[in-house]
Amino acid sequence: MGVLSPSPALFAMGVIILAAGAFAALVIGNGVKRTMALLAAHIGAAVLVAVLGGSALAGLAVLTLAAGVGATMLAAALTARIEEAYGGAETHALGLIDERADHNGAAT
Amino acid sequence: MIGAWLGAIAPMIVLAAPVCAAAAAMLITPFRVAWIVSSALAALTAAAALYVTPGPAPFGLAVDAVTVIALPVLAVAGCVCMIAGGHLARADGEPGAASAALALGHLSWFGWLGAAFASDMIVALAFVVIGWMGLSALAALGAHANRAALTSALRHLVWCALASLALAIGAALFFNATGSVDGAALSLAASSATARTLMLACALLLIGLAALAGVAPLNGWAAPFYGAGGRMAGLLQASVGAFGALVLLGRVAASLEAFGEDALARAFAVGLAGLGAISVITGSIQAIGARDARRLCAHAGAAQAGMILIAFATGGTGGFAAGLFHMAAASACMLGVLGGVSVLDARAPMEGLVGFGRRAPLAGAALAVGALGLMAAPLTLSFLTRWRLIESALAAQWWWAAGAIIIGSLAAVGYGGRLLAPLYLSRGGESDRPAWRVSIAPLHIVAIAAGIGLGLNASALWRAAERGGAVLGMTP
Repeated sequence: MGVLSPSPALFAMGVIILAAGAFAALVIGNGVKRTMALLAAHIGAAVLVAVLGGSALAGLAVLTLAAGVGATMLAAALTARIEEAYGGAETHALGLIDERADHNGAAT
Repeated sequence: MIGAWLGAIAPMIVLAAPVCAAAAAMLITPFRVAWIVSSALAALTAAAALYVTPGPAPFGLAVDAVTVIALPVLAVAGCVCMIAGGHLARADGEPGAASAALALGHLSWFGWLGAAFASDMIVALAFVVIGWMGLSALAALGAHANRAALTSALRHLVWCALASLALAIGAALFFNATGSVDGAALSLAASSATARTLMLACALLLIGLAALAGVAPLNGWAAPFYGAGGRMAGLLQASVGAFGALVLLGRVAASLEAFGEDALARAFAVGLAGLGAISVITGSIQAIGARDARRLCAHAGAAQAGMILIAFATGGTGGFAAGLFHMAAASACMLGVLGGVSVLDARAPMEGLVGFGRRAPLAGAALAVGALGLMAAPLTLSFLTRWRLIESALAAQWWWAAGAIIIGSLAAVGYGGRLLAPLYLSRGGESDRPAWRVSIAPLHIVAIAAGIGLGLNASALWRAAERGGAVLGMTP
């Protein structure tokens, strides 16, 4: 590929976990599942970074994981607040339903 | 002697003061005292940013001519947003959460300021994560005024987290191909063997940064974030977050110049300009149809960012200078419009602007100057910057790109007019003046001064942009 030669199996695993997690985080409506998908995407990305950069990019891999943990904790807190405010964690992933309801004042 | 000493310690003050301000906001009670202390530290940050000169910075960071033009804009815009936070944090947040909102705002600001200093991609990513995560949390604190702030914050969080992943993988691919995470290494390692890996790396970096900057169609988070998220979060994102991401994007685009006449690099530049043109057209159309002034700003911001992308794609000193020049103008416009409507409630429907200029004269004036800037009206800073953008596109003989900028400017007359028309043409109602609202006044004054004052004489800003453009345009 480039200067370093990544392991194909690990590389493929990282790509699959990242792609699946990112896709799910964008389209899943349930806040809890969405949060877990976000964490999975970060784990997949950290694996990819480690495979591509080896020990030289260990700092970036750790940073990616730390950002993932932070994002997951924040997403979990937001999901809990959304459940409290809307009476459920089923917030449409694209936000259309909630926004229209709020905009019209129907659900407030 | 004193000037050299100030120049040496200014970067340290710029980075340390926002963190101290965040700590002060959390630790000091009552809120009024915390706000005064944190506002003083924000003013110190802005003043220090004006003294930053090219050279080494603390903690292994670096200052170049791009940092020198980016920092004052980021610092002054952030400073007035933080001062305005005195009113906005109290108005939008839950009782008792105003201090946390102020602290999050300062931390986010610190992240975007640090990104301007970043000497390599990993450091930049670390600062960027602090910047967007602070904004997500800050937006969620606006749920007291509008519960839709929660869903918009979650959406912002997911999009920005994925954008950060694109940046991380882009940096890893870059390292895999060059053995370095410094963009300057590109010229040393650029070869046909690594060209495709480098292109993929740069594509991921650009996509991640474009998403963070709110470039359409990668800005699925933007409209709800501006419309329903906390007012302070929207202001910070529009004037600081988007600007910081675009500065980094300019650095990545500049590193692509290393490929010189390579066909792949030229194709990439056309692709970047194409994304910019799509953002200009999409953002303009959506802004024309917007029913909420803050959502209109999200779409208008996408149109402005698209124009900057086109300038960066044309490359060379002129293109990058024009992009940096327009970034300052776009930031001033967003401060004016969003700062103006921040006087309204958590929601800002277009109907709420009827008579707004009479009810709140200073806020109305800031909104009017911002709207005139979006329209690139003569005597505004945006008129000059838009002129430079078109010049850079014509210099590259990209007629279609120049056409996209002109179409975007014409469309801006439509949506800018929608903001302007109701301000003074209609009779307003009674003015409502909470005591804390005076804290937004500095923001309005800066927006008016930047929009009109710099429009009358922008030579200093243009010279700074030219120096920044020369650094980017010559990136090996």
